[in-house]
Amino acid sequence: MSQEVKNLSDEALVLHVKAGDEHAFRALALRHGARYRALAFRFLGDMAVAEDLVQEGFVKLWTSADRFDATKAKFTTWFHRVIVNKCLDEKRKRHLIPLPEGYDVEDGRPSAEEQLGMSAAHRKIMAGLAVLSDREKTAVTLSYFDGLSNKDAADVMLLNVKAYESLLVRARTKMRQNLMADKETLLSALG
Amino acid sequence: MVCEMNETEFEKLLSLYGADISVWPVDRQHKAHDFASTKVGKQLLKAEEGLVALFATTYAIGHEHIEDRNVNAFLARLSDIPKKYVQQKTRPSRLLDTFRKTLMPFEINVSPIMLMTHAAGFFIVLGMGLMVGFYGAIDSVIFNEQTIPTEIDISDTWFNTAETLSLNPENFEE
Repeated sequence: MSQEVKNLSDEALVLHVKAGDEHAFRALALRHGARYRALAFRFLGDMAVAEDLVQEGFVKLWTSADRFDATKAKFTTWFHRVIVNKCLDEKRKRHLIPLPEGYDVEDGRPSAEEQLGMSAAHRKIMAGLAVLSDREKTAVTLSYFDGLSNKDAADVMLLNVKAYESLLVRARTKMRQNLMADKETLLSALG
Repeated sequence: MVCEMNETEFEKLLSLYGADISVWPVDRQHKAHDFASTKVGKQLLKAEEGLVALFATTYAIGHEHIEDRNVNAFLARLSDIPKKYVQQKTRPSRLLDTFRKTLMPFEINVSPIMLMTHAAGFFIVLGMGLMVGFYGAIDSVIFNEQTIPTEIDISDTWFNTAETLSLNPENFEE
């Protein structure tokens, strides 16, 4: 891949992708692939599904790059929205899929968490996220794990910054209360 | 101790500004310090510190799984997408395209701003025409102290036949 392509901004690369430039597409995929894989994993907790979903997003980017309008949004804001929406759709779909017969057979394979050697802190944060609504979870994931600014994260969620910050405050409050409740449960269990 | 700040407000400020009360709004700091010294206040501050530490740990791990052994295989799969999928170019619908070509058989590039300016001009002129038509219609003119209608009534000849018209001596010039 040429150095020239590597130095281009995301938006410039998408323009090249629109023109059918495979090198530009590869540069974008290598630049952001791992980040979106981690983002989708945080939402879904299943690496295989997260990878499929992000791959689907990148396929869409290649086949329908015309749909991205660089004058309206940054590439990362737009693609974050694509991936977050796909994750939320996937989560909704999962609620609807009936379990097959004989599903209660234990799956002996190591879980994604075990495979990835997830830390105790990360497990704790995943448990903390479980008490949040999808919107709150999205806000926390974008701000605290993915490092987006409030403005960018608000753009991803199609909210104004004030509404986004209120959402974040609610999420933090819930997580804090959950942490306090956990601690009390632990202390009462210890007597 | 009587404390004017309640738990809800303390929690809200805690979520907005973090555990360091010195960066909270100045007018609330004194009351916040009072509340922080209560049992609930201490618990909330401790929980906030725990939450911050937890976020920091997770953030320090960053995109924590990018270095795992599967990430390279995943990125390679993404890089292969152009080889496996054909790019589609979005085209306007066939019907719309035909309609446009019928109206405007030649290619012309008009910017949206230019198009809007033209449309605005069209509607302004149209509006002015309607206003003049509505308020400014002239029914008659005064000529040599006589009122002459400007409209010509031709309705009395609508039902005349060609024969009637040709037999009428008034139709012939002397």
